[in-house]
Amino acid sequence: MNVVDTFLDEAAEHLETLESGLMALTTRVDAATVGEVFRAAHSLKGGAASCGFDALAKFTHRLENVLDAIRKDHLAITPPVTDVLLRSVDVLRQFLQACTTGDGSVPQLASALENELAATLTPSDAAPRPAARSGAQAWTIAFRPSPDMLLACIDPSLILHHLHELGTLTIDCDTSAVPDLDQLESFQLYLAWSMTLLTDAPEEQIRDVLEWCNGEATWSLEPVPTQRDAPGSSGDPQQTAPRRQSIRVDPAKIDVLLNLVGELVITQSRLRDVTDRLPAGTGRELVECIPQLESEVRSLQDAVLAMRMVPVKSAFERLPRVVFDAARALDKAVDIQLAGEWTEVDREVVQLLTDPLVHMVRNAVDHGLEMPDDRVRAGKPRTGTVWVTAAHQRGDIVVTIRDDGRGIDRARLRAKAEKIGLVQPGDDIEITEQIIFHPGFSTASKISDLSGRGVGLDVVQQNVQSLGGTLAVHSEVGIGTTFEVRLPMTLAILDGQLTRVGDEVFVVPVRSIVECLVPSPEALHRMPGVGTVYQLRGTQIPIVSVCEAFGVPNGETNLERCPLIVIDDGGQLVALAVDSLGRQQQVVLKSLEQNYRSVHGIAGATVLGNGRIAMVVDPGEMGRGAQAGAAL
Amino acid sequence: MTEPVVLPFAVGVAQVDELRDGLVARLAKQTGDLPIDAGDVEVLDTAGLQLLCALTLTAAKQDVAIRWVRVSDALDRAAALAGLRGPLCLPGGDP
Repeated sequence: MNVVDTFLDEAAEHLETLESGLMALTTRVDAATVGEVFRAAHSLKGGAASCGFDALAKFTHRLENVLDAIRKDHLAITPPVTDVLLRSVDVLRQFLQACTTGDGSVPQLASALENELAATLTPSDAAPRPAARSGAQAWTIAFRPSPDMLLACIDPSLILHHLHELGTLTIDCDTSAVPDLDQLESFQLYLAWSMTLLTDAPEEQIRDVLEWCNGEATWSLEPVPTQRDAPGSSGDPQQTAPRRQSIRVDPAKIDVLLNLVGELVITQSRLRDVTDRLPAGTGRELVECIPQLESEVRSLQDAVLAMRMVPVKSAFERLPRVVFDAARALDKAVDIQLAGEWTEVDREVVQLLTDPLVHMVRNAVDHGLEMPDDRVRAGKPRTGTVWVTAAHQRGDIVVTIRDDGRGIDRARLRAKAEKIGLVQPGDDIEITEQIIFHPGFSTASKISDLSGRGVGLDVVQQNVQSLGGTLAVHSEVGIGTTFEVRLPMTLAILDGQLTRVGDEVFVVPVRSIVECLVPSPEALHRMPGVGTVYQLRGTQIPIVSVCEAFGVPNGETNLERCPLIVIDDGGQLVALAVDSLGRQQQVVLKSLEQNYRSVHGIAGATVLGNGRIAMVVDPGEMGRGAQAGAAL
Repeated sequence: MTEPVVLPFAVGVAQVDELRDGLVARLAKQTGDLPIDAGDVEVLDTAGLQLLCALTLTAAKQDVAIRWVRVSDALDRAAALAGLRGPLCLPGGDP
């Protein structure tokens, strides 16, 4: 990972810290959060300058000045100040986007916002920092960075800065190792410092600052003996900061490793295929090795997948800001409660989850929650609440977005469905909340800037389904609405049910399967506009013939002779008709889109143990066509 | 009158190589004092401070005196924080 990549990686974290910190400061101002926000801006500025992103560094410098004034109590956090700071975060995000793509452009609003930031400050903002109170403890600190500290993207000035914040710092810099100018290496560090810090901060707080450099420096911390101290007491032995506990690894390297594990899974599958075909009684030792190999490959795979796991927190951190902006635009009072932010999931899933999550939260504020006066009239608190939670369930990650708003009125749903022709007046079809995922469906009485343009939830559902997940909605009038996103923990390797259709093998993800069955002919019925359905425990399930869906030659077309695989597509059941069922095995999902082109109903391809290519069906897309005219 | 060396907005690790080469070339043909205009410096890191430190030390070996024409608040603060106001011979710096 090069310096720029490391900067961009860290910058995203700084931006999240900035935004979440500023959001926290809108409700409660505390010094720790202000300090955290300031340090994030300071680090971002330093990193940007280090990487040559001058415009970004300059902009962040202006932002940092404002935060510094807040930190020193020279500037109050008022709604207008918060507003300009949050808009600055938006511009920073655009800056980073430009840095990532390498187009080097400067966001349009940057210049105007720089002026706004400057205008926020008053001349008194430059007042000096007060010294530590008299009677504070004095400490001597020797701080010697490693020559490679800059390569680790740690600037010692940041540590000096934090120490300075703790009290009165007297500092002496050792420049004896600085070479002649023509010998100077830009990434080599030559300086060392000895300091005296007069502070009333506890020792632990000083140590926290020094330990921040994570093994990239040696340091010592000793209290200066006072007259009350016995001679020789309280001396703190020479300390070496602990070695770092984690390392940054380019995600691409982990992907390469995962790909190799995938190939190993295929080879293992081939080996099993070979041993299955051995004559009885031969190769006994080889056969006995297979379960152990499978167990070890599974452990290896779990270990590699765990390396890709990150907390879902990064997807959650944008949400308070989304709620803040939406509530302000709509003049609503909204609180957001987050839980389960540390639930881990594949980093790719987190990245792809963010946009659907933002849309649903915005939708909850816009459509779910009532206006404050309406809430009071309904006997509810004036402030509405949106809860977003994440948890692991049965090997999936489940994210719920719940609001305590008006709920979804089924009568209004039916009226809307009739109006746009989804159902006819008098049709004896139960309308469920799932209809809101239908393209173009919106019951909003007026179109807002935030949502309600008739596009959105259907796109959200498609995005979730494209990740192999499901999106469901449950609602109670007057109580609220809950959206539930269920996603696989990883998109790379999955447990698959092998099926045969004609001469082809198709794989159905096991996680989508509710049950497999051989239907009795009397349970099959033809329904106009829907096709053949299967009556399962009182529910009519549409059947999709895999043979017909993909035009597979020599496939079984008589549904009475086909086993059915019942899959759950976000609360709706769909049955896939195949010729026969095979065994279950792990498969490595390879992108069809990258290697060929996107095929409707196919999530990707995989290589089987015998070397054959098999298509992995996309349960969401397979079911969508079947559901379009049924079970509304 | 000798034209001052004008330092840019950012004097950080990304700029050090280019600035070093320019300063080495300038120092090679300099006699007397070398005026430095650091009035526009707003962003600098420890690598940048080291560069200025190496410049000052090398200039002293060559009997060239660094003369600061303008010093930005940012440079002054950063140097003070790092205990380098004296070594850099900044105006008002500790000896």
